[in-house]
Amino acid sequence: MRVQPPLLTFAAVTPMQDSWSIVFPVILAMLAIYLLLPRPRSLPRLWGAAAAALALLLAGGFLIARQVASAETVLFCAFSGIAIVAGGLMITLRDPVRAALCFALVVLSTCGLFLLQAAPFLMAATIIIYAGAIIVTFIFVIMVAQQGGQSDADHRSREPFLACVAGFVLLGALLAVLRSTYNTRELDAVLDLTALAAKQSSYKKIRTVLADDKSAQELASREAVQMRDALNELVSGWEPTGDVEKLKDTLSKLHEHGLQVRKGYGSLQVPAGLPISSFSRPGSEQQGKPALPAENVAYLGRALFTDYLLAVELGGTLLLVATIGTIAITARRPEGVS
Amino acid sequence: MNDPVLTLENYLAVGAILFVLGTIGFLARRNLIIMFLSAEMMLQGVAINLVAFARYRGNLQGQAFTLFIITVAACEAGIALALILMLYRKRKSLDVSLWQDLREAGQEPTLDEEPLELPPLESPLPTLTPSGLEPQQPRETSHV
Repeated sequence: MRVQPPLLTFAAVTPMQDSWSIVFPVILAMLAIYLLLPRPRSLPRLWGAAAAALALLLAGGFLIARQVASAETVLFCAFSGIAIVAGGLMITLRDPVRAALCFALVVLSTCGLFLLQAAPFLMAATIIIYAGAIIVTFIFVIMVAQQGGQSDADHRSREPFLACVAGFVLLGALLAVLRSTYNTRELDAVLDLTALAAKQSSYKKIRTVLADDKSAQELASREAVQMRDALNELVSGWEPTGDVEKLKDTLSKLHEHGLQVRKGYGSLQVPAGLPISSFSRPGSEQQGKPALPAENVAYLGRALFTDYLLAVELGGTLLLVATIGTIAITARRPEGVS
Repeated sequence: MNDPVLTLENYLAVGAILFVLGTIGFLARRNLIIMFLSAEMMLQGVAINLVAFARYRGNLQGQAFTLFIITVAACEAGIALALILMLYRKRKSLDVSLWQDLREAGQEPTLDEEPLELPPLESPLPTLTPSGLEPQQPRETSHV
């Protein structure tokens, strides 16, 4: 049996029932953003805030509830929670200065997520460029251009209902596809069945265990079906008088193989021995690949200046052109001279 | 049974949420600055996705791509802020609806019907205690 770990299978391959659970928090969040968007006669903001909190809790429950509490999980929850709350505040606050500060918070917690994903150089670069440079420039522009008091720009929204519907339909579709792609419930059930069969003492009992399991007809995920077929083939093709110990041994091997496949579902544990990128292999002194955070800057630099050399040159040119363009746009010219 | 750890799904979901919040902000808000902040937030969501895929595939291509995103975002922010300043000089306001004469031919202009709320009343002017009669001042007279 040969099963490839999936990268992204289409949702049609796996069942969609499980993904309906995401609809309720998405609708709640839509309601919250709709209530909170600025408008001349503001809707009850307390209700909006309550709906937002409830939606966040529910979505967190769906996405996180299966995890064990480890340092990584806690940090992930903290950073992503801060990022999402600050993002929601950014688009609902009326004061642009506060919105810019909320955006700084989004950037900082995104940097935390980068660090959790073994990208320390990107974290530093994002903090320096976004939080250091872009936010400061934004706040300068707000100070130059903002006028006091109420204004059409800050206290009105353009089609808030349609914008919310468009955005959250997109979000619901994305989350549903994610959930059905990374749904491992069926594969887990088949794996449990294999482990159970490997523990039986006689061939007859193994057959009984397999016959008792009625879920085989309803399997929809490709890997689960393949695994289950392999299981059936193995057991029904076995000589009834053959060596039971050998069969059990084979079953445990099948189980281990299935576990490998199971780990391929969105697992962030890196398999060893892959090159850093398609052209820049690790140096000869470094057989195999170091764990990702190690020497991040060195390997990123090597990838940039071998695989992406042309792109780096283009990026530098783009920065130069953008600088000249910015100066040309903002330069004050005397009236009548173009 | 199978050790539950954070998977790609969690990071992709956070990226999708940030992206959608940015989309809504860009569509619904009318302040030019907040619209550009929303666009930057969409880029942040994409960056989270790319870095998560970089870790999932175990190579650095996603991280290199994110670096280029940051480069382009820096260029975009510079030019966007220059454009915002220029637009502000022309209309003296950051409201993007003031530029709706750029709309497609045949489209009705959108009008704001509902008036803005009045700002909350300031506390009344302070009353001073009466200070009695005005003393006699030497008046300047002229004998021309």
